[in-house]
Amino acid sequence: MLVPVVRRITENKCFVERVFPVDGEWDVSVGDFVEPFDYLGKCRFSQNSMILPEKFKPINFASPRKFYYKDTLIGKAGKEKIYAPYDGNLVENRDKKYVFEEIERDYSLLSGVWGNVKSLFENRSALIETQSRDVLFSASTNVYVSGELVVFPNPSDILKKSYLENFIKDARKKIIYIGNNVSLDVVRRAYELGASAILSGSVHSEVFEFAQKYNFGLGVFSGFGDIRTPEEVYKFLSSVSYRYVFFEGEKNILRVPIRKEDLDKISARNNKKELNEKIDPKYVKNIEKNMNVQVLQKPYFGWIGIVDSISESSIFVKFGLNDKSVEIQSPNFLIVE
Amino acid sequence: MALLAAHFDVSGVDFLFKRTKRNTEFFHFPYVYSKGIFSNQCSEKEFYTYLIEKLLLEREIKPSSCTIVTSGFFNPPDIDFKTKLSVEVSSLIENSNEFIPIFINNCAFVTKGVISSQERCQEEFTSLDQDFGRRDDDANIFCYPQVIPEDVSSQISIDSKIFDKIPNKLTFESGRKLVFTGGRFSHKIPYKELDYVLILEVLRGLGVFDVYLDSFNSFSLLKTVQIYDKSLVTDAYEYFEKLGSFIRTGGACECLFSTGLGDDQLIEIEENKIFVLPVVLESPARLSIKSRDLGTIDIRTTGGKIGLVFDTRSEKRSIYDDVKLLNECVKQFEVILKK
Repeated sequence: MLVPVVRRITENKCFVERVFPVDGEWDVSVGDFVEPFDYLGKCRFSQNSMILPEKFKPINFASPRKFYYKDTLIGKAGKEKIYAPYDGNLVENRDKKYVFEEIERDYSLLSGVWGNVKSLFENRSALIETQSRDVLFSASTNVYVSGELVVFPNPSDILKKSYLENFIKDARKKIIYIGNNVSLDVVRRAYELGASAILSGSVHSEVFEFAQKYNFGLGVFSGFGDIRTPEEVYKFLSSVSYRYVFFEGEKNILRVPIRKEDLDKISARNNKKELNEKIDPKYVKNIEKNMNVQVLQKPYFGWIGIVDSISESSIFVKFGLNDKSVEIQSPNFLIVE
Repeated sequence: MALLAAHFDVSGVDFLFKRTKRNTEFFHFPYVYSKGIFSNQCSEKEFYTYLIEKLLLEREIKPSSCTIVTSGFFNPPDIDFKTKLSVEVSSLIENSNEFIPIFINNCAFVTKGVISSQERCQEEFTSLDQDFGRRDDDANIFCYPQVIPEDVSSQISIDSKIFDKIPNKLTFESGRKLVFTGGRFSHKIPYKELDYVLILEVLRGLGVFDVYLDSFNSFSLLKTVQIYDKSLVTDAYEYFEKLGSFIRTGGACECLFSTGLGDDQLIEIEENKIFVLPVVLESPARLSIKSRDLGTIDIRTTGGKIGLVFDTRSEKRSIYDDVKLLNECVKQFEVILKK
């Protein structure tokens, strides 16, 4: 019985593209070796803006734009007074609507990875040759974001929101692993706080639909419903907490940059001469006794167990709870390596 | 030269292998490439290239010394081997003249002149009229398309969504041979009786239909091979399972079933019923059907695996919406399958 082999974490040599939001100036050259917190270059642009309500009426405004210091009164929306949230310019658009734009500030582009600058494309993007461990998502929204990874210690449902609001200094631009399951209110709060993406073992489909609707990064490792995060994934994420990572939703992966030395160690452990050596990748294998399998059949959906015996169209799996084995029909399982 | 035909569906892949002209082997791989399983290991192209190579090497054939032809819904995927022919299912259906193929999988309904499908299966799990658990199950099928629902009600939920895809105006001409094919029937679901309920739901128009079931996607495989080399396929019917005659009367009916051996049966069936008469004969029996909408029809039939299925529903109401009728229907099919 041929069955696909799922590998939750894989090692890859890859290219990572780092892009300025607007044209910038490079501090690196082609061939330079960079580390995650090295600056590749900088640019200047307005990094925040606030769209003002339709009924907004400015005070002392001269069209089309006027500078205000932070906390200065800029106008009123009905009876509500509105103050400048930061130093910036009030701008009147062509459609007579107002936007408050923060003044341009320096923005430094971080490398985010260990690697060599392979090429620089004009004053816009850099291509870095690097290596990573890629963690597979069962499902993810089609979003590409990068940011610092924060890993919560699988808190209980009651504490998840509190962790999000109180235990991290600033959720903005962070990629946060919440826990085995994440509810809609927690994801909504993370979105409001400006997080880049949320990771969890599982979600209910309504949570995923919310993230899709708002183009918000959401990656689930096990599937839909209430399914635990695979232990090896959680252990790995914990070991790389606070690292700069890349959420590549379209590819269903979380790309975690690693040092070349670490990669060599893993390769040696896996007895591979070199990475990406695809002599026999074995994407499918014949199922055998004692193999680890992920079960995709209720009530064990998402559980990982060990094959106890094999019949013509099903297998019997032990989950370590007791000596009993459970029959799982083909093709409701995958080999896990 | 050996030949491998591969048909790529949304929940599995079917293969036809010919080592020689006379020898034909069908086999099914009940998984497909899915980003949620493979995206960190390989692309779709790499996966299917590997799979084909492995299957051929298991049969001691080098891919370079084998003719490969592919079909798929909608399109067959790219593979690294040179294929002699790559064709879409919809073209195969349009090119079929001796019978009407009805191709169904979890994403689409395709028959002559009709392609009804959503762009991506993912769209399905946004339907808000379902409970949490059911919507999560549907979403998991998007991540793991090979999954077979573990209970009858989940399969009914999937089938009723297929039913929703069928255009209301679709009708089939009485007397035609209909072949039900596609991933919905090649995927080995344990509730075969639901296959026949789905077939009843798909049939539109009044009359008598000779129904065949294709459990190996052999229609797509054979048709692809036939387009490549006509001489390699002589009789496609031998690979289909004859289910019998499905009779849609549009109201109450009377039937006289006569095998010519003196055991004539007069059957009266009320309106809005499904009645199954198990019949498998070597020589054809005579069947006279009389109903208000159909008039009187005389046919000769040998029945089939299921036999004669009378559908006297007058309303366009779905069986899936009528729990009593659905249960009666499933029970009748179960009894026949247990024989």
